[in-house]
Amino acid sequence: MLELAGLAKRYGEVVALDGAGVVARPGRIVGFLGPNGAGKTTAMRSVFGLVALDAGTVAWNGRQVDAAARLRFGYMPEQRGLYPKMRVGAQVAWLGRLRGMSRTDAARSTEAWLERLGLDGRSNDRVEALSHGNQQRAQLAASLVHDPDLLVLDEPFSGLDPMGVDAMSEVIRGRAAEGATVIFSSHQLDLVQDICQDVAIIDRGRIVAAGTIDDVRGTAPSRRLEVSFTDPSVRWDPPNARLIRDRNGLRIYMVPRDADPAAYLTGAMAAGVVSGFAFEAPRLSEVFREAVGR
Amino acid sequence: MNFLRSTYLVAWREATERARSRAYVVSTIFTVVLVGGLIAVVALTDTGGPKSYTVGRAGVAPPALATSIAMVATASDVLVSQTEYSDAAAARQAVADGDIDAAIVAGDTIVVKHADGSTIEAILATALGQARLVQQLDALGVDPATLTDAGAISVVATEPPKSDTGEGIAVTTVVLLFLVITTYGQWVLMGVVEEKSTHVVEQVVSSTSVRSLLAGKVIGIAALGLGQLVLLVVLVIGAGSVFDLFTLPSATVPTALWSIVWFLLGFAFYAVAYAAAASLVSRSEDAQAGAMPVALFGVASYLVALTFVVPDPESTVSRVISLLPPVAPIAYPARIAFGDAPVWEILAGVALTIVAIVAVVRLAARIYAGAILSAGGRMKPRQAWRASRELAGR
Repeated sequence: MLELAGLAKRYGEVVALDGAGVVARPGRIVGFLGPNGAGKTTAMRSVFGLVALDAGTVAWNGRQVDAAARLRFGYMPEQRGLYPKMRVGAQVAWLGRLRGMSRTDAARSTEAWLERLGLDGRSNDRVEALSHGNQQRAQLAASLVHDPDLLVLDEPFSGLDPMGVDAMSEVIRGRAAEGATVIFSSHQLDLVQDICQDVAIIDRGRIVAAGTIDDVRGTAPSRRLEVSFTDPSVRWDPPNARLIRDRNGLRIYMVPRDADPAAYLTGAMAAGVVSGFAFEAPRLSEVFREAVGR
Repeated sequence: MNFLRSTYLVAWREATERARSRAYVVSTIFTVVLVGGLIAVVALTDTGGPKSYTVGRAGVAPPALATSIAMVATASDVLVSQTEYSDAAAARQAVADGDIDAAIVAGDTIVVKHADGSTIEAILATALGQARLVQQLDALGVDPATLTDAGAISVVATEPPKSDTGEGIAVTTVVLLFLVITTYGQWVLMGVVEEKSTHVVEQVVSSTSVRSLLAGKVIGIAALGLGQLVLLVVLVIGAGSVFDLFTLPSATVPTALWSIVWFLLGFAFYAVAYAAAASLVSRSEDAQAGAMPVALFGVASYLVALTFVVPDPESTVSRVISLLPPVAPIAYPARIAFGDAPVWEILAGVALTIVAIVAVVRLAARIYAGAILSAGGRMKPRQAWRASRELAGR
């Protein structure tokens, strides 16, 4: 189990982390979500000792993380980085050896991961000769080569096409199913709802919501009310509701959690012809906006 | 993962990846050609061995001529082989054809291709004069042998004997060491900047220590430089002794061996300084500007060695200058090339340089550790120094 607690870091006047804490458990995938500059990368770097924290603790299975523990961690940094002129296979195997694997184990595992990620046949190509998407895969192979117990992925989905997102999700789920602890960050809150079981939402260095996805959405103070009118020009002003979108007759409101959906439906039907109606927990991005008031 | 294993892995990667790069192959060939050329020039213009000539004789001549030529040749430290020709025309033709360097015909004429006051011209003129003198004394009934008893001539030296000429070797060594240390120092510079600018350093340091990365890089690149230098030494000494292509001054072998020691010391000194300078910048465009102070030290040391130490290696100025750690790695091999540097002084230089290396490594490693993981623009050494205290243990 990875436990980050009370993380604080300041760069001059800029506050990167302001008491944030995150917990990630074995076999589960944590989505570490928040807008750009919220402190996600700084928090993830702290797991690898790449940042000097002003305060806070980073613990793995109840013990302060040290160099030996980090050998069982896999990391995909936000700023992707591999030696551009080194061959893909040699590089991935070398990183495996750097984390304590024997030469033969590293070679075998490299081959297996390159094949699983669709890079078989590219092993002898230089990294710089690969396309952007393939470099991303090589990067993932580099963080997975030693079958780490903890996988820390910083914005793994950025720059990927939908097929790339699916492939990445599959690998992440696979590692979690094998018992690894996985935490990944994303600034696209809704994109990852289906991938993780747990979320921690961070803003300006503080955690604003955390827990299982269902808990976080379910305990949010609002509900999402979706009403479609056949005629977009219908006038309807539901009580205690905040309109967040209105397009081609589809209106989305945020309403209090304890509001009565039936009352809204009745009101809407009285105002015009309703072709669609939904009353559900808010999306993560809506939970975030509500929580930070933006 | 202990420090030694990860340092070894980093060094292994540096050495094997770079050894297959075109830059290394090209620079190896270039250096071999450069040094081969320099050695050839030194060997041809400045050899320690005697020059040799072939001369011809034809027609009547003083009876003692052959003996006289041999004696003067020995006294002038040249080898002269002599050939008897049947007539003057044949001897002239042989000179004209370049078969022989000169000829004496009819006992009164020296034939050369170009009358330019060459050594052989002077030797033959002296020898001919001696032979005539002996002939005339003989005609007067004086035994030439009694003349040699007229009194011994002694030679008095105002200074101890000069060792054989080491200047060519000294200059070659200074140039070569400067080139090798600078070239491989630049590799460290560019390698560190590449790691930082491509962010690969985060991936590497997430599973090893910053100090392993620095030490491994310097050691791996040093191994390449060492390999190149050893190849050169083997080539030079091998060509000189095995194939007998040219005669090398006697100080060549010790100079070459000492150069390897001084390369390692000089490289350690400059490479970690280059690494520290490189860690402070984030973009490869800024690398050279960032490394300017280190590069200036190198160039200044090179110029000092060439202008003060090479012309007068054992002067007080040279002896003091060569003790300075930045200068020592290129100044001492130059002094060793002249063969006059006292061993205790060389060892003192080694000791002093090692002390300086320890100091530079501690300073540079700390700056490197504090700066290599920083984001953003150029960092000041002082900021890096402070940052490294916070990142203690990495």
